[in-house]
Amino acid sequence: MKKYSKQILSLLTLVVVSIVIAQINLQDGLALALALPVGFAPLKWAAGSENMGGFKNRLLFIPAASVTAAPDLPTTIAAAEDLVTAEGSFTFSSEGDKPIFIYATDKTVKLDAENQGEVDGQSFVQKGEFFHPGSKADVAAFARKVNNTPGYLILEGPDGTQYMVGTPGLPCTIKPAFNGGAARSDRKGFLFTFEADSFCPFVILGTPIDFDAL
Amino acid sequence: MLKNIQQWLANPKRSYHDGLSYFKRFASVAQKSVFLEYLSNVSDDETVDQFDGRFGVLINQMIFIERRIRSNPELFIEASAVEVSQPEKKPPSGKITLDDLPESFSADRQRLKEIVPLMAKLHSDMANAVADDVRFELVRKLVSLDDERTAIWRRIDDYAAGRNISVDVPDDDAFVRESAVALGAKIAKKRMQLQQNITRTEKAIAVNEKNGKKKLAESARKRLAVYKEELAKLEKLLDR
Repeated sequence: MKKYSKQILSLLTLVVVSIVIAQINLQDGLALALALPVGFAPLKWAAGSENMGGFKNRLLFIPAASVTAAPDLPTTIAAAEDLVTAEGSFTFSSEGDKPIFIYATDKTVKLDAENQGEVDGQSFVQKGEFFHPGSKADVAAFARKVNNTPGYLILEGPDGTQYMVGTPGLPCTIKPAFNGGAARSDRKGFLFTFEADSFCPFVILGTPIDFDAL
Repeated sequence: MLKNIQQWLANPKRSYHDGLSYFKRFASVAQKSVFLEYLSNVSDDETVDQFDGRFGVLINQMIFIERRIRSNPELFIEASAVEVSQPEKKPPSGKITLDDLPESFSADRQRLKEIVPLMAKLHSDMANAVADDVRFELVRKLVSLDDERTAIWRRIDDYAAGRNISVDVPDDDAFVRESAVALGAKIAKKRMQLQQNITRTEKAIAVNEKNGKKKLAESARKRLAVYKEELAKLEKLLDR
């Protein structure tokens, strides 16, 4: 009897291993999901997906003090996208106020996210920059005003996805710098660097703004 | 429809009027009572700026609606019929049906067609439900849908009043209306019973404490907490 028990146990083990291998080979979402912690999903990359780097050469800045409400990350998460998608509208304190449109030299708009913090307390610091050409007085005035004005910056990816740097309570700060150049061929203008702390590497603006109308 | 609403939210060139029609169709009674008048204060040919206060409120309210539909899709079953724009009908008169109402009632008519069968199903589910928490959840959904149904009929009745029109109530609507009345009566009866139980138990606690029967008083106190919790749930349901 003992002999048969061993054989049956071995057979059962073989069946279980076969089922597991079959599920992994199937690459079925449900099968893989069974093996992953709750909330995680496979990361796939569809053939033919486009992935152009950089951002469009236009941005929006909204001073935090000028709005009574701003898009924010949802507190109830129904789908994975909700973790990094802010929704809502910018409600300006004064009727007629709008985001400040900023032209940037092409290929100078940049956004990166570095990890920060100790183990068990990690988060991201979103950092970036953009360049506005020239040495006009109104740009210098903007640089002076924005120098100590926390707010929200909206960037637009090449595919039209809008990214929001700074969220309510964790605003974006901008550090303008001017470079007048030396040689005739040098680049002259204002370099604006910005950063914001966040739980997310980047925040997508789920309720995007119509740049063309501004 | 959920996809349409999501596309509307994700479109930077979204139209205010499209959003308003979604709001009129899917907003809860509470949302409509607070925002509908403000949001509807716009003429048909007016272009509302994206940073106009009304647009901001509309976007935020549509986000609530989108989340509600996403978390509870069965409450927003969409009819599969494709909407085709039709020329405005002549003003109806006499005894008419819902279909004879003018085009401005199309969203209401559509919503009635969605919620009435759903309410009938919830009533039948309730007859079979045994667990208290399941029944409570069904009642909560029913009360919410009935508020919506009542609000729609109030708009229809307001329209009919003064036009010498009577709108025929479809059989299924009449059924859920009667069931809602019966359910209301049951809830009222239950509420009265709970209030009586609370009064009786409070008296029992006082008497037992006076006679030094601490154990009896303690057990009465536990009963009292249960009654009060149940009553609070009912009150919350009725006072929404």
